[in-house]
Amino acid sequence: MALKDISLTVPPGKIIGIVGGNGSGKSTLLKLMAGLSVPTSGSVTVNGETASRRSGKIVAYSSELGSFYPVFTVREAMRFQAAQYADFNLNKAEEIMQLMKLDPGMKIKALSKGNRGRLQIVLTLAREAPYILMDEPLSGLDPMVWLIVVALPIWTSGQMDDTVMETVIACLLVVLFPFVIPWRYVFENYVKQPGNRWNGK
Amino acid sequence: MKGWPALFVKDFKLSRTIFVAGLVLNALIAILTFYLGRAAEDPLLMFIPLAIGAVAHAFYAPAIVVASLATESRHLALWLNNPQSAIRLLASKIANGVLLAAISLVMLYALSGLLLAPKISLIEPYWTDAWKLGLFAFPHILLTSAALGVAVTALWALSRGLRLKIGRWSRTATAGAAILFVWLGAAFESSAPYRFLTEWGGVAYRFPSILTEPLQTYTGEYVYTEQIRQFVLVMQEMGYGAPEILSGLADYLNNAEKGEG
Repeated sequence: MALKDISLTVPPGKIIGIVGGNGSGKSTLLKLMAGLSVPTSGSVTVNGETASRRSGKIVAYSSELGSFYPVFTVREAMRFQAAQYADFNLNKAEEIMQLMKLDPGMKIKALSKGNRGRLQIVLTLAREAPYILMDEPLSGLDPMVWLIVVALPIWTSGQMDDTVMETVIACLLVVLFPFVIPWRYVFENYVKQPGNRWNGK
Repeated sequence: MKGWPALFVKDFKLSRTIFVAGLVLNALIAILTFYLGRAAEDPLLMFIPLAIGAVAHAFYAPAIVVASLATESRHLALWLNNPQSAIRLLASKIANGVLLAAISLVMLYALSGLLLAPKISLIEPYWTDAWKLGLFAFPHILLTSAALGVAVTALWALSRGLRLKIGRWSRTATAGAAILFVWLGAAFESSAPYRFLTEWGGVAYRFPSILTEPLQTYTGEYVYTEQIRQFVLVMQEMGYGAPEILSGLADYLNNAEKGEG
């Protein structure tokens, strides 16, 4: 049993992260919320209705490994999503796609793992669904994409105020922290040392 | 492009490899027909590969559906998260299979006709009945193909649903269920109530130069087949929302995805 004695309410308009070790049931919890799994006991409701496959209308779900039809190009995948989900904003998808530097004419099967992750983000965040569930969306992506994932939902929701901005900046600092330290260390301990040929240049 | 047409195009893209393979097989059948037309003494023999090829098209839709479902199995979350009804999701695959079967059958007829045209003097006595039989067979092959396609989707869903309950024995159980359904269907179709219900609107088709007995059809049988097809699809619509089937699919999904969180 992956989950036991779980009870939580997810309010709309909030970004909530679920943290846990491997096998702790994070993915199972998201699948239950997306209506893709059925609990052996208890219930999962979305907007007061039992979560089911049809909850996909209001729940955008992106799986851990990324799910695509490899026969599509990037643009075809976006158009397919637009045809299936009433809340999919094709213009927004185009914008995020450009931000992600994806080639719209490229076949998905030819995309690298990182670019597939970027496409997954395009396809998920371009939906204007009340609930967006992303299972390890940052896995395999570079830090710049992390920033987009953190900031974009808030930016596009029109709820960017000072408090939210501070939260985003805090998130960005946390994300960038591991990358800032080594370079600062290198700069202080190597580049600025007297006698170093790079010093003063 | 909206909803179902987009699904249809997606399913075509998923199954076009089988379509291309089918076209190659058609070409081989036409060449064999042409070869028999030159080599065989009885001109009627040249119709044998053509007849086998045409009848084999009944398995076209189920083959397309199986291939398409196998592809979907690799990313079930993507397919199942689609808010369209199960009937629409499945009907797209079946319709694709039937359409591709129709195109393939037309191409088989056309190719064989082109190759047989120079031999028309040899097959003159059979020609009228041959093309009439081909015309008669065309919709019946497609109807059979559609019915088999629906049956395959039901068995696939049953297999996935059983997987959670009985694990690796699900395939055996599904095969057993398939045999049971066929046996029950055959038993019912040979019963007096079935004949009473379906033997109306009868038409006898005669092809005297090829078949000694006329082919008897009943409108009631078409209605019965269509009702069964609709029933199986509706049951699946309910089944995809039922815990048994969905948890089977979900279980498959969970097992298929590595690095479970």
